[in-house]
Amino acid sequence: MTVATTEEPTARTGTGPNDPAVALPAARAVSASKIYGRGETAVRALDDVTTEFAAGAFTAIMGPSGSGKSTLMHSLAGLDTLTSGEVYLGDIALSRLGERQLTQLRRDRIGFIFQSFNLVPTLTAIENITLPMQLAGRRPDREWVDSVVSTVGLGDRLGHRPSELSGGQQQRVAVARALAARPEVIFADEPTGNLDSHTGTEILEFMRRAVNEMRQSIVMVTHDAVAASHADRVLFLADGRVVDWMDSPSAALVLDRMKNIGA
Amino acid sequence: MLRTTFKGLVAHKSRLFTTALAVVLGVAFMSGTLVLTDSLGRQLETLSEDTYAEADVFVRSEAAFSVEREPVRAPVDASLVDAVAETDGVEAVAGRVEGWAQIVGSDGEPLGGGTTDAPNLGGNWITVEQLNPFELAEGSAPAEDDQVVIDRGSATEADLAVGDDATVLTTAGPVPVTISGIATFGDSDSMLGMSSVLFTDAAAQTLVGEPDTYSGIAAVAASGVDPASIVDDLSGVVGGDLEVLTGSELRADARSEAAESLSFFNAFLMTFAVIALFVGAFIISNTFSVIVAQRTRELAVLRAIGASRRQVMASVVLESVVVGVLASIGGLLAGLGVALGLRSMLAGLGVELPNGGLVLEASSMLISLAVGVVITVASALLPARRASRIAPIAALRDTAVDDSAGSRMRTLVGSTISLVGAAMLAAGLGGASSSPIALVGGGAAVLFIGVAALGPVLARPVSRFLAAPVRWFRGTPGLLAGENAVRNPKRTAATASALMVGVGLVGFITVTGSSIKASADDAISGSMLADFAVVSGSIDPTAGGFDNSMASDLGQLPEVLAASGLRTAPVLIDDDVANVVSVDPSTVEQVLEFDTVEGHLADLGPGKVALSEPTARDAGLRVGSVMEVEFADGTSDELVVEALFADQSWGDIVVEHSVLESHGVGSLDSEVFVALADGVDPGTGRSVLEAELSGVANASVKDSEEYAGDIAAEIDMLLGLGYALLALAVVIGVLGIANTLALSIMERTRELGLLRAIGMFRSQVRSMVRWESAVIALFGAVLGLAVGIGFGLALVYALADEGINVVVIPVPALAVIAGLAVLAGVGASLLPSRRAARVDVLTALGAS
Repeated sequence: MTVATTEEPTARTGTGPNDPAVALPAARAVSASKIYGRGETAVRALDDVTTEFAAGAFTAIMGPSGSGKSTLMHSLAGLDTLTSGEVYLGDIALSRLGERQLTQLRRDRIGFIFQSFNLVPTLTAIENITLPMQLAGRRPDREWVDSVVSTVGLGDRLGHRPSELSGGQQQRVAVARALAARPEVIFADEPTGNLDSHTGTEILEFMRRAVNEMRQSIVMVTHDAVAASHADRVLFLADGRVVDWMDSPSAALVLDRMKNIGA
Repeated sequence: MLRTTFKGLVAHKSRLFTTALAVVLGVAFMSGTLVLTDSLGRQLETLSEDTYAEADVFVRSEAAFSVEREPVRAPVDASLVDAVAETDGVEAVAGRVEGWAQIVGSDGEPLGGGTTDAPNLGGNWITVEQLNPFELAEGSAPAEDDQVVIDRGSATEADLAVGDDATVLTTAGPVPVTISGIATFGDSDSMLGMSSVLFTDAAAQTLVGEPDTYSGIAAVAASGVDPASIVDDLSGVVGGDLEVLTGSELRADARSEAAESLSFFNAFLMTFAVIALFVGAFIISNTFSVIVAQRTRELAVLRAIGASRRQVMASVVLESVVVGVLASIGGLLAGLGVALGLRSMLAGLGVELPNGGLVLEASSMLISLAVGVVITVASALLPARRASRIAPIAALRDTAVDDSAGSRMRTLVGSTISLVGAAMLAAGLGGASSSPIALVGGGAAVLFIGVAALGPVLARPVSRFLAAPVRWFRGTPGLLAGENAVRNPKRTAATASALMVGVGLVGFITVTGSSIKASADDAISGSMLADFAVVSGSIDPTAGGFDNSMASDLGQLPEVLAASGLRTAPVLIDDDVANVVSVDPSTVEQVLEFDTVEGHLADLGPGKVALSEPTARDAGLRVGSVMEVEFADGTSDELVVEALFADQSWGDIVVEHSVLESHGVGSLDSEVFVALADGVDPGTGRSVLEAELSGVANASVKDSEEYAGDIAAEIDMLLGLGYALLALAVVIGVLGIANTLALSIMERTRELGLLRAIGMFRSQVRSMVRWESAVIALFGAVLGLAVGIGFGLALVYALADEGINVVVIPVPALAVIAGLAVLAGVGASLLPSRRAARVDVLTALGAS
């Protein structure tokens, strides 16, 4: 089993998001380890992971349950802390940040898309979309928000509350919220998990467009091979390690690879 | 099912804790009140029994009538002592003189005498040892008419010792005395804190009572003689207006008199206990509603696997029974602390109560326990019924937040209930019923319930309006706070309702108190022509005042235009106790404005009376009519109406001094009003008066502003007492907010996790919850103030005939109340907001 290192991918491809010409990766992990519990019952959720997520690219993280994919994403997003090692968002080392700085980092530089939409039920769609900027006390960039809203196609639903929207519409609001603040990275946790395949595909296409047209960096955790096939690259995790990766994936190839890992 | 209930209880113990606390507080206040009144009752009983020492037979006048539950009796003739002594089987006999005497301390200040001080008793030193409740501790009994024995408590307080010279204020004016002895009352230094000055019989009769009379005559039966036989013998001898009692009858009577005098006090405090429990009921009901809503899925699963509706309902009811019993027991224990706290609080506000151990009556304990359990269970019934109606299918559905606000039905029902309450209130205040207090209290409760029912309809628009400024100065957390406050209007309304009741009553007494103060101020500034009032500081018209000579002496001063004294006495008119004011018709109109509309006050004299217009109208009297008035001595006068006046500031029934004097009451001026001669500077006038009065220990000179200020201070004291007692209802209301908020936070864990994930600072989360709480509290306060101002206005208008004719809505005071409610709301959010801010983002997002 090989551990993916930063050198290896650059050696394999010369195009796209991993081009060495692109200055800094959007996020990276260096010897990241996360151990839950102690002694006999200790579980290694992340085992010395070193990897990079290219800026302006769509990266999917796959792996069986308990492979550490969620832990890796949560650590990168400043929601969880490592036992040892370091994660960077751009050039910022997250382990040195305090609670308040992490919150600010999430607010200003990170976008989130969750499986169960997670909109604030008391706010309208547009209020949900601009919420991170409102929290920061920043005036939303009207033009940008408009373009995001038109990209995800919410036009006439903006004044509605989440309870008046379908699941697909809610997730589109969530995607728009993540995009609207122009974060450095968007972390998506099974964004299509609660959607039917048609709506799910729509959402993935929006995310794809955001990468293509807005050069948005996206990191997505999923166990759906079809979802992963929308990404530029797929990282495979097992037992807390990066065991493999694949560029320009197709659903069939991803499924095949997953079988090998034993998912 | 039973096991499920108990497992549920254990699982929800933190949710039920604050509910239980609401019950604990309500029950504690109630049991505390009962324990306090039981204890005071026992002490007063003991006191009134001890007062008559070992008397076997007692002779006194029958009560003419009662003033504030104390019977008013005429004195008996002193010659009766001989008649009693000659009766067969009587071993010893003594007359008792009871009345007012106030000793002046070595510093020149009279002891006590304030409105809230213990009474100042004057009497005779009873030479028959078995009949004298006092025991000499030092010195000797009074042998001369200028010698007195005083109680040890007073001796200590006044810094007087045996052999010292002192001054005693009496109904016959100040007298110089020498302390011949110091006595104890049983084991105590005083009679429950009251001061006692005991003269020789002759001196007591002249100074304290009336010459050649006693208040009552006590006798000791010879050994082996049945007191009842003496009573039988005596009953034939004494006249028809007298009653003869055995010692045990006397003591039983004293006991019931003590109980009677406490019943008002008890009812007063109990009103607040009932208010607290009423507020508690709102919270209990609300908490169970929230818990049932949150357990919908769990209860539906129970239904799906075969539990019947009845079983589900029973499990919720059983839960409330357990909470009720545990909380009531807790309340009982806390009640002991409340009893002590109430006593020191009342003492702190100037209501001096006797000290002594607490008395625990089983009946009081059982009542408190039963009330606590019944209220808890009754409040949980509606939520329990709702729980039993959960369909099994709900187990499979996502539970939606109930954001329905008000149906047309709710608006209709709420309005109807409110109108019924308002109608009851109006009927009670309008005097349409024989039991107005029950009607007014019931109407108020019904109106509160009606407004509470309307709450969900009002919650959304009113809260949005109130929250608007929060959004402006707190940004997004403020916006979220406002929206959260109205996301479940029914819950918001129920939560706010509990606070509404407390704040409503606070607003009510504020409006009423301010209006009464303003009316009194208005009446005095408009009707007091005098520059100064000389007051004795005692509110009891029969105890404390100035000798008649003072007014005439002051009137002789060159700086003084006129000085005129005012006296009051309780009388019986048409079986109702009323106050009669007596004046000096020749001078009174120079110092006080009565605004006579018919006849002349100057024409008052023996057999004549002047009435205020409302009094005359109510009694159907006009100038020339005859009015029958019964006095404390048991005799009646027929008084001819001589004049009618419009200004009620000084009283409604006015006679000349001689009318009261002829019935042995009102021998002292309680107040003397002084108008200065033209051109005399008020400052000069005051110093002249003060110099002239330097020898009168209980006199103080007040200008009209200070005089009105004294009345305002008295009302303020009552308001303070009301605020302190209502504080409990407000605290319980605030607890309710804290409780609902904590439960809501639990529901919203995932949302809080999301907000934290996308970048809300902990401080912003706290701020959001804090302002949500503040908005709910403000909503409750606004509803409460609206209702309370309504109550206040209704009462003030109803009192228009009593001379309360200035209506004041004290906006600054009400704004302060609203501000305090917001602060209380912020206080209620302390724990829930910390909890909300500490939500772990990952766990919260993982939680479903």
